[in-house]
Amino acid sequence: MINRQDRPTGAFGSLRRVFVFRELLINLTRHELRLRYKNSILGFVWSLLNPLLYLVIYSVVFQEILRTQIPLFAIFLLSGLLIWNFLAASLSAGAGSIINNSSIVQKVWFPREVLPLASVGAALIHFFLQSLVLTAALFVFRQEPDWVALALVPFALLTIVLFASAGALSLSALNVYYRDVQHLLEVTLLAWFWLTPIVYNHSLVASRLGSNDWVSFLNPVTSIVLLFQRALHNPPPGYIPDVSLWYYFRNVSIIFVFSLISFVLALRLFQRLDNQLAERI
Amino acid sequence: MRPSNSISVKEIGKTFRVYDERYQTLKERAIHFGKIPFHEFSALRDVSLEVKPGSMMGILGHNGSGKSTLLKCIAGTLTPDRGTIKADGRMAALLELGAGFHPELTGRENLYLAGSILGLRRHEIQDKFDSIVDFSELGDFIDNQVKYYSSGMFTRLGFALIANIDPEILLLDEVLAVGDEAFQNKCLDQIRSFRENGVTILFVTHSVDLAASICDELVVLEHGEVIASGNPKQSAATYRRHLYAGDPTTVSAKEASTGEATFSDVLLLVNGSPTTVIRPDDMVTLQVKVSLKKGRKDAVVAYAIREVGGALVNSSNTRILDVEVPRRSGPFILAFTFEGLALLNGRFSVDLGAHSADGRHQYGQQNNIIQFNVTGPSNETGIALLPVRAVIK
Repeated sequence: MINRQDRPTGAFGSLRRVFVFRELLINLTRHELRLRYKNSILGFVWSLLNPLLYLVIYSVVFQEILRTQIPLFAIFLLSGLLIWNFLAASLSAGAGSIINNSSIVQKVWFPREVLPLASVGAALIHFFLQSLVLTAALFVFRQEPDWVALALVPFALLTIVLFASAGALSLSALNVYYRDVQHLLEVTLLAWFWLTPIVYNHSLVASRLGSNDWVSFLNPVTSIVLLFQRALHNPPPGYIPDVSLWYYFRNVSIIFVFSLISFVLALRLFQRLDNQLAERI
Repeated sequence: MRPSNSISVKEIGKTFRVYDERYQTLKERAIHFGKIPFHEFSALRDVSLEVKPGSMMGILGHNGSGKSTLLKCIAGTLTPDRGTIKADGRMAALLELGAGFHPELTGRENLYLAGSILGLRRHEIQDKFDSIVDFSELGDFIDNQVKYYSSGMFTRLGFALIANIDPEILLLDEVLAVGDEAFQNKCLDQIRSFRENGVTILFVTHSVDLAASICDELVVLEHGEVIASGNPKQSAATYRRHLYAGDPTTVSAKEASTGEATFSDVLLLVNGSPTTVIRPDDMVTLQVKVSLKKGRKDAVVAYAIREVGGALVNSSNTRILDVEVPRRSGPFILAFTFEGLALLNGRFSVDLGAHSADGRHQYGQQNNIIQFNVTGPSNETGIALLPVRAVIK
């Protein structure tokens, strides 16, 4: 039994508390998924339709109108889009997670970190569902992934989960204090999407920037998306900045360290804001 | 020796900031440079209490006296600004209807959710599911979203849950205020059986008699301070005295009435003529001649209307109503005018009192100074006349 008056100290204390309440985390994740498609006829099929519809739209715009030369555009797009969807869903659902659950936050005690983390959990399950679409696309186009690069995918996934968790934790608590957060987030996500090489080729940006192409890696999602594209799309050289796996591994590792630090800081921030959440809602 | 399943609250304080205008966006805050006008409201001041293992403590207090804030602090949903709280043992709380239910989820889903908040595993809830639903008497409604539940159903579900999870510490806030009599009795039986099983209970209620009869100890809160604690009979008497002192702002009238204020010529006027039979839609004036001893400049005059031999119906005073009592010496006529008395048929009495602005000194009090009957066309039962209608949907 955890004494509810003992405020945890440090990020590890928070995590331990979340672990004690893991059953709640699972339940909240399940409910978040269920609530999203409550009263809808197609239900979770929407999770599968969503990337397919995006695929159609972007294919028309980029292949037919803008004449993008990327081979197997569907696979290229999906390998970046799914990661992006995961991040965007985690952040926007996470930002509202405490406010939307005010009915329980104000009535009972539990570690509130569980709420934004459940949003990330629900987004992750969506990611896996949508991966089915990508897997299907790989079969349809008879595209073989780069198996060695694929071994790095779990590492990249862990990195983006940490990064999304850090974001969801901070945004959820800040949003209670400043409701601007969710509006600001909407615009930011739109700009962020276009700053990430998902519908266009990163080499386009890299060649323009020349020796300054490190600037594009200030966007932490870039490294993750590039690894996914390298592993699944596996295009011929010229469409990707570098062929060597070391290049991708190094980039993702940097983001991993960055995400880990962000995650720890986010837990600390959450602890500081936690005390007044119930009365500020 | 470490005490088991006890609650120990030491000198806790909680202050809320009440923002005069609420600026919630960054822009508004930037414009006002963080200087948002607010005043502070002390909900709890140095409250200490000890609930011994296996005992039951009741908390009485007016609305706004800090009862619910205290319970929320112990439950952990609010964090006190000062002081320490220790509560060892598996705690379950029913605060203001429902154990923290999510309106969009069904009763069934909520039981699993609430169960996991209380630290139960899924199979533990599964094992108890049928007996919870039986206890709640919700039947098939268990698969409806709880946003469609009535307040009675909400409480049933919440109480049914905690009745089946073997808590060691139980916090109950006004749970018996809703639900029909049969269910209330069922809850009371359950509370008694909790007591027999050694559960430590902290119980907030407005029902003085109930609290006095089932609690081992009774605490009276007023303005965030403990003004009486211990023996339930004595605490209940203190509470009653305050309730009928006619003034919800009395801090602690430790001194007895000094007879410095007297009331005479008390009249109830309808259309300018005195009467003691009132219809609910009548505009009624309570008129009284108040005589204050010289030098009592800071006096506040209060009235209380109550059901004869029963509950307080309404009470207010000149400070709340923003009227300053004349400072010159000599008697004056004071009139409280009610736009209507939304009461059901019954007999009511009026108490009058006067005290100092800080509530420490009673200048005088006269209970049951006048009685009146309310007669209206309504056939509802109870005290309050509420505009109600029924439709089939």
